[in-house]
Amino acid sequence: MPVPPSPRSRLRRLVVAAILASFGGLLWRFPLIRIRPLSEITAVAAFDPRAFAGRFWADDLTPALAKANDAGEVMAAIRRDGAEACGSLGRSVGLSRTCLYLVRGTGTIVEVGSAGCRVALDGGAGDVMLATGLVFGTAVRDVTGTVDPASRTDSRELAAAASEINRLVHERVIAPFTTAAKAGGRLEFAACGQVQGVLPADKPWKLIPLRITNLEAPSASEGTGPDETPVSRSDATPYPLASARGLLPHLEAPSASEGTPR
Amino acid sequence: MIRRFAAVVIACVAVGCSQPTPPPRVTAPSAAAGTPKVAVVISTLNNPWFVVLGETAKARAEELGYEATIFDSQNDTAKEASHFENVLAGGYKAILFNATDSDGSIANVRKAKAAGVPVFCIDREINATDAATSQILSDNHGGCVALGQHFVEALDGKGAYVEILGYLGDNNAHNRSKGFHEVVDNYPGLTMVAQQAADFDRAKALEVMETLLQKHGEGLAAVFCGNDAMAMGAYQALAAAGRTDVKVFGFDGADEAVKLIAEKKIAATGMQFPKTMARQAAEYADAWIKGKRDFPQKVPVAVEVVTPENVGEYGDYGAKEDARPATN
Repeated sequence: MPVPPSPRSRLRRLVVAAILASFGGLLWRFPLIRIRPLSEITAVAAFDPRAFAGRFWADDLTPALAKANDAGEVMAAIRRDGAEACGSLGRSVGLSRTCLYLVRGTGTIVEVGSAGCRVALDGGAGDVMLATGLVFGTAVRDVTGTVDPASRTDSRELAAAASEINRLVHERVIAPFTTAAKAGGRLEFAACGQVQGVLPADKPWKLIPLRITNLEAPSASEGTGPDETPVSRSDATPYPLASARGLLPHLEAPSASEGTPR
Repeated sequence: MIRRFAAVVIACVAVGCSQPTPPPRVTAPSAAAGTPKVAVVISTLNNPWFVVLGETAKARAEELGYEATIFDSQNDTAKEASHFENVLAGGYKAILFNATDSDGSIANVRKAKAAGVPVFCIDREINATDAATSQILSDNHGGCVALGQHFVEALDGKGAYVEILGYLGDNNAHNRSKGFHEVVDNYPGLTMVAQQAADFDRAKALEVMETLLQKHGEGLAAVFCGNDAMAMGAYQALAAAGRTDVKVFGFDGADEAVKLIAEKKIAATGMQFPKTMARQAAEYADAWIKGKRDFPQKVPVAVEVVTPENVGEYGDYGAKEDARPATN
């Protein structure tokens, strides 16, 4: 027959139970290890390259275009002294030898081909080749100098952002421009260019257009373009936002909240 | 007994049941230790490119007046952790670090930081911006975008190809593949018939290429490899099988690959400038030891595509005329 605990032993047990209960309560309130659902963590940490690209377009790129240097002057400066031109008119990223420039200019379309749209700059400052195909790389993302490489811990995220920015350039600028561009047309542009080493004198400078304003359509007799249709746009406004459908079927147009081209 | 137990429990709760954080270890003054020491911890020396990276960092550190030692992590984070323990116990002033794993190496860098020893990452990124003093990194994504564009031109936008990936724990392997596919996937005439990892290792790539040739050899037009060591391995397998018609593309700018490009045996590579990065890391470490504390967290270095057309401009793990100044 079990011996009933003495009052002293019962008190000890109560004290131990109270201590353990308070200890448990403290651990519950201030756990040493906190388990959180993975979805909660990824929801906080997830990087949205599309939203990033939209903000970059509206907040960084568009204001920067207003400060772009004259394309002809930049070309002349690069040919005089590439390093000096890069320091004063362009920028290089980190320890890179490639220099990025934001330029603008006006000119006349000389020809539209698979390599791009060749434009003779006004005043005989030289020729540039505006890209008419897909845009790749990090030049547009980096040309403004506003994207800090250390802003994300994982560089893959900024690589994804560069892809999204390139998609916007194609969708908002290049695709509508390519459809309408005809030899003889006059335009005003802002663009991004990169130079590694020297700028060849015998070739037009390849640029990624970032904004194109159609100033004047060619006359009916001289207008020839990729689809042989006459140019209908002659207003002095930038080309409108166009859907990428048909050109890049796997991409969708960004939402209005992600920034609107100006 | 119970009173003692209760006292221990209460004391434990009062101090939070954790060990107090040890104060940061202060490295011995250089005057007392003689020539100050700099550690060069490299992911693997089983690849000539990393040997160049490590040797250049060591040489530049020695030029700047330090005793420099290279530690080989053999692509093993446990070995890397052991090296860090030894380096921190050994009174080294700075660590020039080529990480084994973008996530797995963070703890080692944090440990060094807590001990007051700066870490300068070279080439390989760690996925943290509050641990290393600075990270000098190749633009792997941008480099492979450019390489992808050349790939499309070289194949005229059509043909079957295989991709041999690097070590998947490293961000570079992902960035290279992603940059390449960002371009190539836009061309429906180019078909990837197989994609397999060979961990940046030449011998593994040779084996992988041999297997892939058996399965997909017929009609194969090209192979894209995540680094030059794997490109060399793939080339070896292709040459042994008499398939010199298959175009091989690498990445790194290894001297051997550049020489084979000049001989038109390899189609192209991406020059990563390991010497530039290693020298910069050593110079940053020197500046830190001399009191500078303000460093950019990430310093990108653009990759340049080396082809048979421009191969004359490159050699010795860089450009022949590379006058870029170090940035301090």
